Amino acid sequence: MTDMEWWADWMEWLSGERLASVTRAAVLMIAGFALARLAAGAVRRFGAKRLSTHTAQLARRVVHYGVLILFALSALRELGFSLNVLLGAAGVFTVAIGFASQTSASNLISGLFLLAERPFSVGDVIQVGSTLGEVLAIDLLSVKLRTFDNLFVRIPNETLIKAEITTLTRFPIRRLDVKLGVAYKEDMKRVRDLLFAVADANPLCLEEPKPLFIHLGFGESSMDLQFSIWARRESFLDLRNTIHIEIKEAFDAAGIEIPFPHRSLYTGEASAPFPIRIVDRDPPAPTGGIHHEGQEGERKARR
Amino acid sequence: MNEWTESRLAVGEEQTRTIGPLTLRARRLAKEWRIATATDDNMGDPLRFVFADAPARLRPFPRQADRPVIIRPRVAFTLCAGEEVTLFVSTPLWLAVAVGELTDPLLETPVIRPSDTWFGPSTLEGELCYAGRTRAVLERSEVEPSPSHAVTPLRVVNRAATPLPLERVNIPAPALSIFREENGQLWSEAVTLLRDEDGEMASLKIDPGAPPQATRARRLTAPRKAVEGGMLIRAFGGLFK
Repeated sequence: MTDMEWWADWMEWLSGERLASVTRAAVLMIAGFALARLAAGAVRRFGAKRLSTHTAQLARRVVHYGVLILFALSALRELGFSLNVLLGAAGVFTVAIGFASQTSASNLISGLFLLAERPFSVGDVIQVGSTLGEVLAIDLLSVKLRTFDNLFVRIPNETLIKAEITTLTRFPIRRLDVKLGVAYKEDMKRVRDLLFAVADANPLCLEEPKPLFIHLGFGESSMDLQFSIWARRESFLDLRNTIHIEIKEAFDAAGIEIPFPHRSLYTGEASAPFPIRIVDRDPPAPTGGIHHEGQEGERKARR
Repeated sequence: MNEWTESRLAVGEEQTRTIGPLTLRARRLAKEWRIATATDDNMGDPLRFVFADAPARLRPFPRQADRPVIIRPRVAFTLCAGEEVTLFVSTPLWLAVAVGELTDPLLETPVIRPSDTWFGPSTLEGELCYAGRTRAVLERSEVEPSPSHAVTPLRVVNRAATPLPLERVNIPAPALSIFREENGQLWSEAVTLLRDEDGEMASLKIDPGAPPQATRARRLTAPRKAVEGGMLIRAFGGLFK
């Protein structure tokens, strides 16, 4: 084909019906993009005050992609594609893609389940495994979190469907369990009254539900207790920071001992005390007798 | 001059007021107000509010709590079916400080910080409230005068067929105004809680204007939020299952 022939063909094509349909398709796509953006913007403005962040985000996406898909289908029709054939081909294509990319498909389906089940919403604080963070977005393939040290974490939806998720911000109040031990010599009733007085004096500690005092058992070196108090979700950290200090101060003021593990060594009732031999690494001084006796006396006293 | 009187300060002048256990210290400078509050001797650093030209008027005023307040009668009692009773309850107040013509206060702080509490049948259902440390009394003469509390005459009417144990009562403080008698006693509107059916719900009615116990009291502060008459609220804590 010579250059002239090619040019003639090209001009013929341009002047024909074909060009008109391509132009219409292009116009439709551009209009679709613009309209999708506008519609999504309108939904965002409408939803900003009336809907939760989660629902607003979802509605925006549905509108944006819905409009875009409609226009894309119209554009394809303009180009002469038959939609029936296209949908059939899409079905086959989806199966092929599904097999080829099982993980993505699994994430996609898990994402749909997550959206329907709504174990958490955008803005909630959740814990997945060891990751604790605020939900930024719930997308079809993954959930995006912002951890409290300001890192961006992407968790695939498939992981979330299988994992245990704790939503920390679902209910307005939370319970704080303070575990502590007191010495065996202490009067438990007095300890209990003191703990209740500390909780009563702290304004962040809820009056109702009432604090809970549980005797966990007789530990190795202390009587183990659990003191459970309630706080508003927002004041939980403040309460945790203040109540431990206040309990320690109250115990110190009342002379109640919080013991650390003690170890007492006995050689048995029948046997004599441990024989102690004092080893002096330094060579004995010529006049060291008095000094040595002093150390001996001190060690005896410790025994 | 009482705790809530407006005053005008010259540039460089400082004023200290005592409201119950709370001390307020305000100082006017040419272009700023410095305001500090404290409940003990340790007055912290003042908050600074900057203006092009600092207004002269200092307007401290009391406000009701921003959440409902839960009050217990001095001794819990049961209101028999078909009976009614009037209680006098004291709710803790907030100090708000505004200057000049500003409608919104520059700062707000509780005169006595009440403890948080939860009012509802379970930890899933209910609302966050404050626990009033005062007790509801049956006689007006038993009310202890306090600059840090407002007294609400609360009429409880039990029209239900079952007795009503009065252990904890929900006072909708954000919906109440504050009135001041000449002797300094602060009041709110009279409130009626009407219980028609079994359960903890009651319809709330707020009688507009100063209560009948203090008809000459002058209104100091408007409510934080308006409430329509006949609103149904969860009012009685003794009935939670």
